[in-house]
Amino acid sequence: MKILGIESSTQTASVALSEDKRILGEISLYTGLTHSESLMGLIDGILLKTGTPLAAIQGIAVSVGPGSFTGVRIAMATAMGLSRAGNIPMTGISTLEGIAHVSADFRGIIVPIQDARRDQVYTAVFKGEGGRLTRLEEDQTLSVEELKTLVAGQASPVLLCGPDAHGFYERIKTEATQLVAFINQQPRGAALCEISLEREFSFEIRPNYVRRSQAERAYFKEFGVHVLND
Amino acid sequence: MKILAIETSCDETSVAIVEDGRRILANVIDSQIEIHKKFGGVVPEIASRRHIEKIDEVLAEALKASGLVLEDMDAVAVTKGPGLVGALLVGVNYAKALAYGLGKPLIGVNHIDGHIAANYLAFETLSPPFMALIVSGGHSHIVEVLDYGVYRLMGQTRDDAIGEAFDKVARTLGYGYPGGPYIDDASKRGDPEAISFPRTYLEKGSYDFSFSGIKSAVLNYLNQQQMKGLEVVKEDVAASFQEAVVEVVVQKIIAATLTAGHRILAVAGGVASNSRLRELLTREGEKHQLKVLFPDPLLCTDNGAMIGAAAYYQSLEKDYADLSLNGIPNLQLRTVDNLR
Repeated sequence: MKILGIESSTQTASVALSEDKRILGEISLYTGLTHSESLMGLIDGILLKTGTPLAAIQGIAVSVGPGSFTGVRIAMATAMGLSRAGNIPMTGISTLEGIAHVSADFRGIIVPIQDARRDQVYTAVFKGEGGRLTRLEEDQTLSVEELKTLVAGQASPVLLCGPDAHGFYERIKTEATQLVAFINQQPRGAALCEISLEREFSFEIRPNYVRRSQAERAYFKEFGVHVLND
Repeated sequence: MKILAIETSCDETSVAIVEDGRRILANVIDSQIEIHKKFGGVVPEIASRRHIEKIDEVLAEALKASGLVLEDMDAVAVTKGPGLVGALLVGVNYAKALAYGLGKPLIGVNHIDGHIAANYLAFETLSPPFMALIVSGGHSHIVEVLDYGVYRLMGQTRDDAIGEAFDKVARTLGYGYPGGPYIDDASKRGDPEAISFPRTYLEKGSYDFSFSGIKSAVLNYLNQQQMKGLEVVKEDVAASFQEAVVEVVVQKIIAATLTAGHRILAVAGGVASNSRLRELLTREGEKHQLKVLFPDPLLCTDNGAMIGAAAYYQSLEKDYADLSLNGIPNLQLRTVDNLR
């Protein structure tokens, strides 16, 4: 089964193609340029370079956040357009799980993080056991202080990973003694392909923003109800 | 030739199928107005979230309404700007992937081009050259349509768009969003001569607009009345404001049309639905033997069909986009003075 992985929810745009358990290719851009301009060209590139027609793709694994709201939508819109045109089912995967997956060989607690600005991070907690990931905590937004507490409260050694891991490692390492290492890890399309092997595919994907828009938060504060569902 | 056209530049998610630039085979619009009303205006992030949630469903509805399948399409068109960047990017990326997946050409359309092209859908025999007035929440332009997609800009707003002025005044008066329909409705019960608001004509011979002055004049009037402890008749304020704005617009577009020597004047954009503008412009047009065209209100709002109409004429010129097509929030109209 051939799967196309699409990731553009952070500064990195990455696409990959897999056949069953084998990654056939991956192209990533770390230029931080607008993914809207580059993403479709990367997909065209990976298909061309691997000699794969779109019709041979049986599933699309797409990163649905958390991350840049616009970046999440660029990946989703692209996946949805390809899905609709080629009748290809999709599966949406958490960006944080994608990041953690790359470090799944670590034996201990894996905490993927992304800078969510305003002194906050998007994060989640996984347990790594020789390549297998078990999720312990859902994707969430935490303050740096809360991240410190979360890390310090773990019973096993903690690995911090993600595009912004180094900066946050420096900020919390002295007090969170469980924290043993960090890996500055960019999200990868290949990780999505691998994770998707154990996922259901369908023709509907949902964004995983984790954070509501500023206007919605203000509205909720005033009226106590949410405007949009998720 | 059948074009699948996608529009997500502001707060309507729309997908249409248009044949040969003139016939609408489907035009499905999912409006977000009820959501944005709660915030008193369009919230860009919420608009973008709603677009990604709805776009695939709206496309499916358009196909169903037309009885066609995607493989019947000859090209995919999408609004590339101007508009809210996050909102544009949903449509642009979805359209790019669709076109790529179908192996069909991709056409990036200027939203203002689309508004003008709505007239090709509404009036089967209309063809350039003619004069056009584009009045909406984001745009106020007077252009000569020299050919399909080729314009000479004669005037535009120097500050607020006309629809923006309606929205702001409506908000000040405590009406809802969008302001246009509320002002229009209230004006029918008010006296347009009750308050003398300034008519901003700018320098002699200019076809440009300025709507920020009258907006301030309305605010000043309301403050003064409040300080004097006088009652405000909202309907009179609405009617007087609308009259001042419409009078200037009508005077300018008629003068521009006569100067340029056109006999046909096509109006486009959301504010083209304003009943007083329709009434006064039709009357003044008749006086000067001009044929004034107003598309149906549905075609005046943002919709995919108008994008499909404009795209058809671009396709005749092989004006296609490649996979790097991006959303351009401040895209300008292509005029003879700034050809792309």
